[in-house]
Amino acid sequence: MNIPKEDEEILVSERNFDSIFSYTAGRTRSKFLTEIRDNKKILGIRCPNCNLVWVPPRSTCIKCFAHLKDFLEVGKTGTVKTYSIINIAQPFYPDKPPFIFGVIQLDGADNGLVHLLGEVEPEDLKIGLRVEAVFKEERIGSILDIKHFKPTAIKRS
Amino acid sequence: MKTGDNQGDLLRVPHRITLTWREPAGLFLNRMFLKMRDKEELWAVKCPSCRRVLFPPEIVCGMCKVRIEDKKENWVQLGNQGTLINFYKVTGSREVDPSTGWHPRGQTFNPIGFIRPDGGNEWTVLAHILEETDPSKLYPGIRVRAIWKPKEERQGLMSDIKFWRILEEKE
Repeated sequence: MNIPKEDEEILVSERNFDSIFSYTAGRTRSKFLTEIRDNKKILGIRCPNCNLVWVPPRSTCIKCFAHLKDFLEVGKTGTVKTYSIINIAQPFYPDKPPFIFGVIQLDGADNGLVHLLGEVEPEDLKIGLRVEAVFKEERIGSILDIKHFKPTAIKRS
Repeated sequence: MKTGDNQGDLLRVPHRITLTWREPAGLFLNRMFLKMRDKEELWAVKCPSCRRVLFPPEIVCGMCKVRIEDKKENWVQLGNQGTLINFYKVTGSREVDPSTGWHPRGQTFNPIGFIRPDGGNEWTVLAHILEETDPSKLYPGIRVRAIWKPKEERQGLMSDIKFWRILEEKE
C-alpha cells in the first residue's frame, strides 16, 4: 500500500470550468418554444404505445423509443410535485437567490416540468400546491418566456 | 432530414455550465510537486520491472502494469538540465472560440518542447515551455536547463518551472 508520510503536506488545486454555448433545439423542442412565444400555449406530446404525455415534448419516447409526433396542448395549470429553495448563486441560474425551483406536473401531462415557482412564500409551499403559468410580455422563444408558476387563486379545500 | 417543409422556426437554446472543484494530485504527483516547490528538484519513479523512468511519476507503470511501490529505491532524481527531443511551434489557438469569436492572431507564443531531463532514459519525456521563440535556433538534441520561478512565487505546480532555456556551451 502506498500511503503518504504523516508530516507530508497535501497539495489541493482549486479548479473551475466555465462554458458558454448553445445547442439546436430541434424540430420538436422548437415547436414547443415557438408555441409558448406566439400563442402562450404549452404543448405536450403523446406516445401512442405507452399512452403517456411528455412535457416538454420529445421526439422519442424514453420508455419505448417510439417516434412521437402527436402534439397536444396541456393545461397552463398544474400541481407541484416537488420543489427546492435555492440559496446559493450560480452563474447559470435564471434568477438571483433566494428563488424556488419546482417540478410541476401540468394538467394532462404525465411527467414533471422543471420551472421556477414565484409569487409564493416558502412557508406556503407544499407538495400538491396548484399553480398556473405566468407568461412574460416580451417573449423570445425560450423556456423562460414563462416567467414562473404562481399559486392559483382558488385554494384547494 | 428535410428542412423548409413549413415546420416553423428552428431555435437555438443558450446554455452555460460552470463547475468548481478541488482536486488533490495524488501521492506520487504530490511528492513531486512538493520537491519542485521547496527544493527545485525533479523526482521521477523507476518501474522495478522494466526500468522505465517515469516523469511525471505514475503509480502504475503504463506499459507493464506493475504497481510501483513507494520505496526509496523506486525514486530517482533527475537533473535540472536536459536534452530537447523535439518541439513544436505554437502559432495560436487552433480554432476560433465559438462563444466569444476570439482568435489570438499575431501573438508570439513560446514553443512547446519535449525534454528529457538528465537521469531519464528513453521513456522519460516532459512537455514544457521553451524560452527561445525563434524555432530556427532550436533543434532536437540541444541542451536546455530549467529556469525556476522565485521561491515565493512557486505554488507546487508544473508552472513553477518558468521555462527551459538553451544551455550555452561551456557555461
